Amino acid sequence: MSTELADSLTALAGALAEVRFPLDVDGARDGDERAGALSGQIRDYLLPRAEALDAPLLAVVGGSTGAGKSTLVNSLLGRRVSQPGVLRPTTKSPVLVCHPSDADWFRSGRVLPELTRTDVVLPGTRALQVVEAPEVPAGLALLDAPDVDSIDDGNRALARQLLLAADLWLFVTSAARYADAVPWEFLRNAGDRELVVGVVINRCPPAVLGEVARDFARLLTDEGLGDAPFFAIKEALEGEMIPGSDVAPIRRWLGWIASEAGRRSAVVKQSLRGALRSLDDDVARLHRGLAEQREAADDLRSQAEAEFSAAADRVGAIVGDGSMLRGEIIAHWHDVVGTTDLMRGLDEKVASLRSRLRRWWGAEPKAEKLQDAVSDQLARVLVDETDAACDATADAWSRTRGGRALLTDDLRSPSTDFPARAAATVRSWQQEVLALVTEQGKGKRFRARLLALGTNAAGATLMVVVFASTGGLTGAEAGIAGGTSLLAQRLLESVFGAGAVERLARESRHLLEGRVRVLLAEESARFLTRVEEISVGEHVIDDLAAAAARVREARKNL
Amino acid sequence: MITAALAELEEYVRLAILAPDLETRAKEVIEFANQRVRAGEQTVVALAGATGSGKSSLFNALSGTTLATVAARRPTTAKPLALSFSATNGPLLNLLQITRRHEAPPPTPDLADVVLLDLPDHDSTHLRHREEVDRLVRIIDQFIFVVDPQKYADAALHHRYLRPLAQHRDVISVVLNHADAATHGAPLIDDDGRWQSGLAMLVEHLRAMLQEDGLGDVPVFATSALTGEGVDELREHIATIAREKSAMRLRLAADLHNLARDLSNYGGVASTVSDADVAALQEEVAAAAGVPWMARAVRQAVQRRGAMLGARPDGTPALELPAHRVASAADDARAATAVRRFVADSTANLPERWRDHARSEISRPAGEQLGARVDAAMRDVELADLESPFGWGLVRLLKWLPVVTLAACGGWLAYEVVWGSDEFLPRLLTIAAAAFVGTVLVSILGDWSLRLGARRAEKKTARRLRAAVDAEVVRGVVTPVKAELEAHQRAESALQRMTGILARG
Repeated sequence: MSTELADSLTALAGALAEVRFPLDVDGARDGDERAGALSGQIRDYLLPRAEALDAPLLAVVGGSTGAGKSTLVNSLLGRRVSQPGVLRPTTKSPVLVCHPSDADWFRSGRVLPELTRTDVVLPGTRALQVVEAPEVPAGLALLDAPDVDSIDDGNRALARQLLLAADLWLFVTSAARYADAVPWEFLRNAGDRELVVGVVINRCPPAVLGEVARDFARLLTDEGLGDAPFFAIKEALEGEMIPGSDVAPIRRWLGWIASEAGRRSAVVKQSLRGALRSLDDDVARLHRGLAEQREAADDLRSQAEAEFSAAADRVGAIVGDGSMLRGEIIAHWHDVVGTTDLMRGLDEKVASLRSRLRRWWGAEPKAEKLQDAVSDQLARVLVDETDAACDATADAWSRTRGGRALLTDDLRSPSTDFPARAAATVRSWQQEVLALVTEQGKGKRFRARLLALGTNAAGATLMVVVFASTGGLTGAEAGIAGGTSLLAQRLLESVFGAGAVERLARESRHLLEGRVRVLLAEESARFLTRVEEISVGEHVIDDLAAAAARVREARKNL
Repeated sequence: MITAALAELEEYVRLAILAPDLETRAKEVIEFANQRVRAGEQTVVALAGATGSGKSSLFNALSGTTLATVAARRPTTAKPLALSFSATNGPLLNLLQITRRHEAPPPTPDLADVVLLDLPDHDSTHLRHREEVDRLVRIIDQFIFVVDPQKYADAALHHRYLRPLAQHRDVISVVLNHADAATHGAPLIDDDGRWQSGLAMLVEHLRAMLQEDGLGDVPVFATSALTGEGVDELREHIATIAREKSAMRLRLAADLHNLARDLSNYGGVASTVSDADVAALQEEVAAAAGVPWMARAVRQAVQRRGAMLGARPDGTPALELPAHRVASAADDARAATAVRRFVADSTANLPERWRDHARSEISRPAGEQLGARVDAAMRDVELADLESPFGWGLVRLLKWLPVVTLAACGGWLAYEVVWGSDEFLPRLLTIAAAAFVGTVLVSILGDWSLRLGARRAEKKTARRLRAAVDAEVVRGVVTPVKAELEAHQRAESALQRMTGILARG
């Protein structure tokens, strides 16, 4: 059963290694820290403990700087193993004191595998000094940890790591400190984990010992730690030691726990169960954090998608509403109309030599110019709307911290080759329109008429019809564009018949919209890949949930 | 000094486009500084520190009162307590929002202008205490941080308070209270008049930490509130500060300095609009508005009219100006792109907020309205008077010259046939040939001058339309961009002047 627990914890550690919070949103840093602390706790404590439930207990002596942790450890043993000091913070490298029979287990590196072991004092390192002392009861080791609240960042981090790896805490504070916020965070955390904790209030001025002890006991009860064994020690050193009578109750309590395998195992299981339970909460928070990451990424993505899709819509609207039928296009159109002698009946002598000549000297070259004008003008619209979409997306992204981090200046405008690609897109569309017209003109009935008008001219005429195809033209617009498109429509109808023109226009428009969307999608991909590159994969979230569920299942058998 | 610096800061805040939180902070600093200067020159000295460091007992020892509550239970002081050694300055304490007010005779005459504050602890589980300290830390004139041998290395003290206050080192002192604990009850000062060796080591360590916090040269005292040792020195230190009457100004100067540093981080580089960029923008907008097209159309119209000159008997036909061209969506797009690029390039070196502002306040409105404005301006341009009537008269006159000559030749021929000799023929033929050549020449000349006139009309049209378009571009885009760049420059120089004033002290 404990192998199943160990396996499931290994799986969870594997899943945690994949967890990242790359987007700078609220709580991302917390998430990274939490994931790190959790993997650390699995490595340092949960896994070794699950593999060996009967291994010796690790009691960590932790607390504030200056509360007298080292003095307490020394006094408990009756000899000096840990260096106390006046200058704060003192204990920089942790000292583990255990019965000689347990030394192998603690030297083996199963618990706290990342800490280097040493047998002598190595000042200035974070190495774990293992001291064998027959005074310590077998089956229980005392670990003098660094402080939890000093200015030294390394001390605080190591203390946190050690306390997370403990089966049992001996938490030390002092009369001057017992209401400090930082140690209380730890005590609350221990309460949440249902960890076995003994609380020591050290350095009490003898005159106020009773008052302070009562007040502290009240605080403990308020925080749900009323059951924790509680020891008050007055400030009166004999040399470097606390008088033996004062530490005797603590020594007795530890001895009582260590003396019987059943009690040791109860403590181990209570702490392990509590830690596994609180792990659920941590995983749930990580899960939420990952979901927030995904939401933030989705937001960025949908902002880009919305802007570019709006740009495509705007292009669609401009193409259909007649506003293209002004300026250059209309001028060239007039040229085409002027030479084709349009209003004459097209039915007579359509394939005559004159028409062929005109094809070369008249309408066709002008129609080609019109085609050029169309591709030029349409490409300009595409460039502008894309430019606006890039600008707007960059603007939206720069309003969030996460988005700002992904943004670079080149995203604020379209890629450098975009104008060329836009022009190419329009030209391909024009080719398609010509192909459509040619296809339509294949029948016997139409070929001659189409030849008379010229394929290019017919294609250009169809584009003019497309450019006013959404209808609803009003005012001056209806005057110019409406007249133009009506003329163009009549002209095409005289070649292909009424129904066909409407279909051709619809199809052409469709083709254009499709191409525009593809083109804009390529541009928006520049934004989307930025999001993609840093997104956490779906499987990470699933793996984490699955591994946590497995641990939950395995812990039931504990 | 403070007032002058404040004026510059106000100018900066008025001009600058700041992130909302920074703007709020700047405004708060200005408002508080103004009020604090008005509230008078008393020096507010606060005892701050951790729970259990003995702030309150030190407060009592310093003031010679028993006003502050001293107890073994932690934490004790909940609300800040103010003790004035002269008549209570109501507006000042109102500004600091301190309600627990007391008055006492000054323990020494020098302290008369001092208001002594006992602050709540900053590190207890009572969040409200911390909030109160955080609030007061931002506004008190002079701090005395009280630490003790147990707590002097706490992260809560160094990370949360001392490091962020590094700029305020002129108004901070640190007191190691409960120093008797370090000497195990022995006097703090040994027989040589120096600190007892254990204490000296402790103070040395404390100093090293303060050095790391950026508070290297702040005064450090050691006291024992229990025995009263060291309290007199501390009181004398406070009295010196009060005599100099500079704590308040130093404090405000440090606040302004801090703010100025954050604001200048936000700075950006001053830049100007390049003439080449403006010219390129105008060119692009003019092209989008169809200026070259219109000019070409005018040339064609002039030429058409010239071609009709001889054909019409009823005098000079009116010049038919081309119809005004309505801009297409593509033309609008071209202008909008040009404007957006121009604004983005010109403001590229400004801070982000300024760039956003330029984008939303200049680019976007211009993109929407510039087309219509340019259009209207172009319609207003007068084009009817494009050519001189004199030119046309001359051409018309010359056109008649060969006709008149031929008519004269005809008359001469008739005269000679009826009355004349027979030697006229060669001469007549010569004249007729000359008239013919003259006709051809006149035709060529007329054509040439017509083309010349048409080209001149094209250039004139282009020039007039460009002037109208350029003016609109300047009005709608260039001027606002320049105004923004200038505002940025003025804001930055106001900030520099303020830093200069503070540096001179």
